[in-house]
Amino acid sequence: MNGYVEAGYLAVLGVLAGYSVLLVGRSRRMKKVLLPVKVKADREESRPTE
Amino acid sequence: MESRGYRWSRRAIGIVSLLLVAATVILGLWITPPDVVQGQLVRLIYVHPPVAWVAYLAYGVTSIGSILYLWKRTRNLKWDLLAAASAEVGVVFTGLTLITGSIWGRPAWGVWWTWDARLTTTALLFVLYLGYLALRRVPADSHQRAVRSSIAGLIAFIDVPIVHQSVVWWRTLHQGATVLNPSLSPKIHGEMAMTLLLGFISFTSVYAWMLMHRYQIAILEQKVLDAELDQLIEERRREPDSESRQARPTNDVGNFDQPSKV
Repeated sequence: MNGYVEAGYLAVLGVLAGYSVLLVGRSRRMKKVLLPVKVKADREESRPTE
Repeated sequence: MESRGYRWSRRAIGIVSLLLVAATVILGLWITPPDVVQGQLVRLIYVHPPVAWVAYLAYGVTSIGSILYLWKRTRNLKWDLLAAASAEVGVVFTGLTLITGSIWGRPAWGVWWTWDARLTTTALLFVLYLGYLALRRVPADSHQRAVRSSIAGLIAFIDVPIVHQSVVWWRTLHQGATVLNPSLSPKIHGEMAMTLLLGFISFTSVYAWMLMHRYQIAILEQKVLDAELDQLIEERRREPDSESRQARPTNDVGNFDQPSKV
C-alpha cells in the first residue's frame, strides 16, 4: 500500500490495545485494593455482639 | 463486587469485539478493492468514520447519564459514574479520530493539519471533554462533583451536532458525510459498504466492552473512597474526646440503588 493506510490501522489498533490493557490493569488493581476492605467489613459484621 | 452475569457478558462482548475488529482489518486492508479516485487511501474509511461515530455515541451516553443525574426523580450516583466512564472512552476515540484524520489528510490534502471547520470543531470537542475529565478531578464531595460535571458534560455535547454539520454549514476541505448525509443516500456500495458497516459494528462493540470495564472501575473507586471515609470517621469517633466533637457528614453513596440525598 502506501504507508499511510498501515499507519492509520496501526494507530487505531495500538491505541485501543493499549487502553484495553490499561483498563484491565486498573480493574485488577482496584479489586486488590478493595478486597482487604471487604474482608475487614465482613469480620466486623460477624463479630459477636456483647 | 461485580456479578457473575456482568463479568460473563463483558467477556463475551470482548471476544466478539476482537473477532469483529479482526474481520474489519482483514476486509479493509486486503479484501476490498481500491477506490477509483483515492486509490489505496480509501481503506482508511473503514476505521476513520467508525471511530468518529463511537466518539459521538460515547458523548451521547455521557449526556444521557448527566440528564438522569440532574433530574431529581432519577438522581443516582451510578448515572454520574456512567457518564464519566463514557466520556473517558469518548476522549480515546476522539483522539483516534484526530490521528486517523491527520494521517488521511497528509496524502489527500498535502498537510497533516489545517484549521478547517470539521477539524477545528473536532479538536474543540476533544479539548472540551478533556476539560470535563479535569473538572471531575477537582476536589469536592460526590454530589457536588456530579452536578458540576453533569452540567459541563451537557454544555460540551452542544459541539457534537456542530462537528457533524460542519461540512454542510461551512465550505470545508473535508468531504461530506458518506452515509449520514442530508439526502440520506449513501455514497458507498457493495463490499465497501458492507465493510464500512462492519467497521461501525465492531468499534461500537469495542466501545461497549470498554465502557463496561471503565464503569466497573468507577464503581470500585467510589467504594474504596467510601470505605476509606468510613474508616476515617470510625477512627475519629474512637478518639477520647470524640463525644465533644460532632461527626462530619459523609459523602457515602451507600446503596447505589437508592437516590442519593441532596
